[in-house]
Amino acid sequence: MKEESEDQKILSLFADEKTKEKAFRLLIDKYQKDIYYAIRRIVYLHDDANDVTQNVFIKIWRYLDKFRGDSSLKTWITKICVNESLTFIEKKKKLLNLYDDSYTSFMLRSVEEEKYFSSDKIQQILHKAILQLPQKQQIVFTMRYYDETPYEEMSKILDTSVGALKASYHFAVKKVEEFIEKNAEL
Amino acid sequence: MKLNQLPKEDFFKVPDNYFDELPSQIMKVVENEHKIVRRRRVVWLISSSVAAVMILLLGISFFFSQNNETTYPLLALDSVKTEQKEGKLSLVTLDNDDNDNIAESSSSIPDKTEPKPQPSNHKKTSSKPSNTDIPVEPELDFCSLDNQIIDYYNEELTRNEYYELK
Repeated sequence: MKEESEDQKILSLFADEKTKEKAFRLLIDKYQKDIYYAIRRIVYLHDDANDVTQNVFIKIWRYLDKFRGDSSLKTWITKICVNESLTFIEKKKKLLNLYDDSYTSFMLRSVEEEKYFSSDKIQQILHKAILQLPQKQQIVFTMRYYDETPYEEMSKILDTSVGALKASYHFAVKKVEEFIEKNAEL
Repeated sequence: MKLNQLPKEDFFKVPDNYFDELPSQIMKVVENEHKIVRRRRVVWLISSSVAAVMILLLGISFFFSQNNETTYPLLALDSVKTEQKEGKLSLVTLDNDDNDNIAESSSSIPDKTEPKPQPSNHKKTSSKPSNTDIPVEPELDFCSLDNQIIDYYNEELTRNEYYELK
């Protein structure tokens, strides 16, 4: 309830041209970490996540006055994050001339080389397992496993039925556990 | 190994003070975006206003050019009618054949056989008709008029002289 009243305050301040900027600052303070991590879990690299975060905030600035309140503000923002991240990945694949398999190999190398990842070995194995999953299954898995997002909300964000999401998560968990078991022994 | 046996550590790290600096970084980007949008709106407003004025001017010039084309013949016809009403058109040089031709071509010009002379105008007549722009009262050639008209004029002149004398 507190979160909803905060969102209402942001929206009503944003509707007034005089307090629009103030409202946006409140929104940044409230959602910057959620937005950044929602994106980072899809694009993985910090620099990429930083670029997409800026794009997402520009989108929010442009379209917040058109937000109709059909879902919660957080759901609406997360949907923008997912769409922008997927668009970014597609562009990156085209730019680097990478296909799905070669993109996965490229990301696995990046996870090992980039400094903005935990050095914990088991965590590295877990994320390599996640990177092996198909793109949409990765999103379903991270949303459910890390954020514990309810299936109903995920359904609104990803435009997929609750049943399909449950099945997708179930298969993702199986694949990740198998991958960890194989690689942890090495 | 089961997933629930793993600690849920945050795998992703960020640079120091990243979330302290992010709001000002975003505000800069958004302000730039806002400026660009505002500039685009101004450019759009100016260009659409110029286009609207151009269309209006074209419309007006087209309207007047159309109007001029239609009004010239009407003006010419009007001037003929006016001159005719004022008795400025010469009947002297017209003979019966000419008159018949005119009657055929235009119903607006009255028949020569029933002229309605205006005594007051004719009385003042003193000069011959000319081709100059200044309208001149035609000198009546009585020889070409019917006897009836001659009689009418004579009678009218006599009556006028009578009144003047009186």
